[in-house]
Amino acid sequence: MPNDTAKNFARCDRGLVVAPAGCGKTHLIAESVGHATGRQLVLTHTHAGVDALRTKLTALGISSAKYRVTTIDSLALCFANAFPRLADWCCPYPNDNEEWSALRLAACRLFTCRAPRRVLQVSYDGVFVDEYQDCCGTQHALISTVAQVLPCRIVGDPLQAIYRKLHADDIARWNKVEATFPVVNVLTEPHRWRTRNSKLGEWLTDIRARLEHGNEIDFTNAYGIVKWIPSANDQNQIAACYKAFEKEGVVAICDWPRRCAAIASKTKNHFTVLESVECPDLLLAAKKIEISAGVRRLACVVAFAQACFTGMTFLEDMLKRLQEARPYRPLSPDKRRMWESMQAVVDSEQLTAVEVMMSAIEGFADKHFYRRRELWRDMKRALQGHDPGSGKSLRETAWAVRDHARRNGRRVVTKRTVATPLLIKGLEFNHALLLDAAQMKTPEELYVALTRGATSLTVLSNERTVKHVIPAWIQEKSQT
Amino acid sequence: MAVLHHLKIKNFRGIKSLDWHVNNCVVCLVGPGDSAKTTILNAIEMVLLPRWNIPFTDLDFYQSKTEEEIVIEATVGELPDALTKQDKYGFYLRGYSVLERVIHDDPANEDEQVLTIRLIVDSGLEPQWAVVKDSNPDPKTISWRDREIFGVALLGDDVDRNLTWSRGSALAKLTNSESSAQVITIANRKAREAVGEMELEQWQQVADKAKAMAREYGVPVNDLKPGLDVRAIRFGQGVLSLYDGPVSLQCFGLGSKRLAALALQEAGIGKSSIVLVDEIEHGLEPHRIRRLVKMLCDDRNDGQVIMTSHSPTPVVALSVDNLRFTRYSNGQLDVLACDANGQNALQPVIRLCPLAIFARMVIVCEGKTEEALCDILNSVWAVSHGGTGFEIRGIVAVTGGGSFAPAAARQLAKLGYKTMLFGDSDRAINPTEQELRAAGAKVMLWDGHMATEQRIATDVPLSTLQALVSMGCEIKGEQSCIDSCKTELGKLGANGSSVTNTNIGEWQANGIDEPRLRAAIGHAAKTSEWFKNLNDGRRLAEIVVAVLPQIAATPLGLTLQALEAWVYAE
Repeated sequence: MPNDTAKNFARCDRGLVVAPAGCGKTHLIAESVGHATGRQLVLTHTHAGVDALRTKLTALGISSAKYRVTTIDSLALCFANAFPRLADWCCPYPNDNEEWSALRLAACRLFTCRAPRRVLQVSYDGVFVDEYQDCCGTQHALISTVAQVLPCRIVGDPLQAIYRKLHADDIARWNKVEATFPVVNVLTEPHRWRTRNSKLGEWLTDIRARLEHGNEIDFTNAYGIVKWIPSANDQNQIAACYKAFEKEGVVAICDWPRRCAAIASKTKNHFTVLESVECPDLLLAAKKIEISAGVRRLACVVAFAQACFTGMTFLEDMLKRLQEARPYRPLSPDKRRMWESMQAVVDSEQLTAVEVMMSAIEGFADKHFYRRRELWRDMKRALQGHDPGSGKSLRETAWAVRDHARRNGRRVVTKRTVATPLLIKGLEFNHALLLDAAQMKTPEELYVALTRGATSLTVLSNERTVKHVIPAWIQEKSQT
Repeated sequence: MAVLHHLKIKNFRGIKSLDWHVNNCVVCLVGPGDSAKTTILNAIEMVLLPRWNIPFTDLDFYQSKTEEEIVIEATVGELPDALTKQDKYGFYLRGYSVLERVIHDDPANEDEQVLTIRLIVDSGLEPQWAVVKDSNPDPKTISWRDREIFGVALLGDDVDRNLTWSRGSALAKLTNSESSAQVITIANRKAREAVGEMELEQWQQVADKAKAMAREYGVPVNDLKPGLDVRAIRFGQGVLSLYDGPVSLQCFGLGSKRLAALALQEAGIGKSSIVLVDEIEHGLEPHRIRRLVKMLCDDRNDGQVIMTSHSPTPVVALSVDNLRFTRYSNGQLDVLACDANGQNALQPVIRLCPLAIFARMVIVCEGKTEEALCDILNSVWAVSHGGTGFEIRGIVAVTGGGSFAPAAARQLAKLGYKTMLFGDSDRAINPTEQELRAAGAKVMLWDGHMATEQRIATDVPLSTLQALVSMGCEIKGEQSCIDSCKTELGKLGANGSSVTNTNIGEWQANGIDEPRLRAAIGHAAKTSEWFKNLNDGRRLAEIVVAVLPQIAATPLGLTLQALEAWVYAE
């Protein structure tokens, strides 16, 4: 991108740069930090985002004295914990969304007080915020308060704002955002596709304009750029997945986690499931295992194993024998160990027996396939980290494991993944495989799905064309 | 920059406990000897001065009890921005309300933003400096470099060190360390060359012998000769120092050295800083003391000066709200200040007689007459008590400016002085006698609601009374004297017409009874102010003192005896 973009961005007092997918947003922020004077505070949403920015800044050779990268919520938390009385904040770590919202509002209050303002002004000369479309209302309020103290430049793409449904009541209207931060630039160069499939990049720029205007997108007009499969029935979906078995860096996109799990098992686990952030299946399974006892608990564990692996029928047999109190003489030492561990789960009240049984099951895992590796891994972590004396339930421990993983951004991304747009936003793959275009209910979801693959895009759709309403934020703009 | 708002000390040397809100930018600590004034300065120095190698010993602990750790906490305001960054101590900011004299753990918008630095020394004798805040369980260590930012200058004992370029001295800080090292290298080289050219016959002979021996042993030496060792001159021990022409600054008088050391420290840290001066008068003539006080206190806009003193000169240059009185008892140290209404009463007293501040016991006299009386009594009592008068017993008699005397006495009593109010009982005093006694002062007023002159006139023998009247005539003129006596007699209902001269005997012969006579003279002396200055007061006192044995049983005599007893109580 021309040098001026970054320089001008670094100099403005308040500004927004709209960055469509793959147009070099991270590079822009890093370069701008380099051009700006003094120390910059760079804010994003997840720790994965923090890592990505730090990597880019180091790659561009910018001295670490020039910046500090952290998340918006971490900033709020460390200031609130430093001045608890001033912020009226008493708990050291928020536990749910409500508490996080309260924390951000407390931090807003703080930044109107003299002393915290001084700390902010003295420590930094400016602020950059990434992924602004993911900000909820309280985060926008917080950044707006900070913008009154320091020059503040933000980057985001409203057409990728798919987190809205997670924010419930706490939504930040994009028009309000643009009112606070005037647009200074729009990135246009589709860098992601330049070397690998520049035609795809151009096509995606075109469909962005179509989506913004609510016009239809015709897949038949993209011959040679996008592979369109005219029917999106189950058979075709699986066939398309099979065709991708040889490739690496493939993502198959569908709308619901259940469907992802189904695809994964039907493709004999050549595709693995990327668990959702909250992972309700983990929490539910944890709860069930904890509150049940005896044979019922064993049944829950077996059900969980079957959800995570294929080929666990022998477990079902062993369970039946236990339930009917039939004798069982295991032939191999592995199976004997399995049988003993199952009996231990029935007899013991402790959850450690469940952990032992899970290890025993893993002994068989090389013969059978992981269907939901992440789910299994995190249940084990929850059991290992569970402390009965602390008063926390297994479900709460499991939630903490997921929360920790989310903040540290450790995702399990394998060669071929099946996931929903929510989970893969911001990530880059080689080949994107949209299993049914009709499953993408909003223009934002469709845009995110279509822009994930840098080398190729395959779309299955019953209709030749697809048309969405004009995005909400553009509608609101034309109304005012 | 940096202002000390609050100091807390526990278990440090003589101080078991101190909790002091400083509350002024210029503070002069006064107090009896061994009341830990210098210890306070040392404590501030230890917690804020950037020294990293302070050697602590068991003796630094209160009563050498090393189980109780030394804690020194300084709460400092007017912080430079460098310290309030998020990476530094921004998250440890607290608030100080100067009006309420309270530290708030979180800084409210009206508060001064402050940091609390704590020094802890436990039985391991390792000092640890950290910035602390109640809401944060983990104190943050503060390095000596950051403590340097506070800019504290101390003028204490080791003056000479600051006049040399030694490690950590003011001069060293002003100099680029590389250029100092270069000087040493060049000096070494030149010295080596100079020694090389010297005639070192004796040493050369030994070197020749050494060469022969060494060659025998197979050491391949050719030209062995003595030279200056490379490590002869080394930086660190104050190798370079300041000279005025050929004379080293270290040869100057103590006063000048102290001033130079202070000037150098200020040059390094700039004028806005906390300056600690122990015994500001040490080594200096009064005019240089005044100049130093002016430089430190008047000619600066920010920063703070905390000094100790045993001399009245600085006290006179300052006002009473700069003074702090250290009161020490069994380890508990209190630093007292005048309260607002006490200041008005005490200020004129101190202006007139700054020595009072340094006394052990103070007699606050209502007027000059009483002060003169004390003065003469002092010379008499000194003789009868083996030469020990007020001066040796640490007693000062001051005039309290009339109506201010009781207020001044109360304030002094509250500040811990053994105080006595000595004066007339003819008017009600404010504060009242009870209030004075409640504050701890002794109240010595004449019996019978009388002024001093009246009491004297009532109790002395007639011959003395005659002498009094004659003195009055000398001072005020005979006619004026007679007139006042006539007027007073008239007020008392006696026939004043017969009074035509100053012969008392004649008055009596003319029918004026003794009590009226005495009362009239007393009144006249008081209202016409016959003895209202020190000289005349002294003359009056002399004639009274001459008849002390005769008046022993009178109220006058009893009061004076009580006064003597108070003065000479142990």
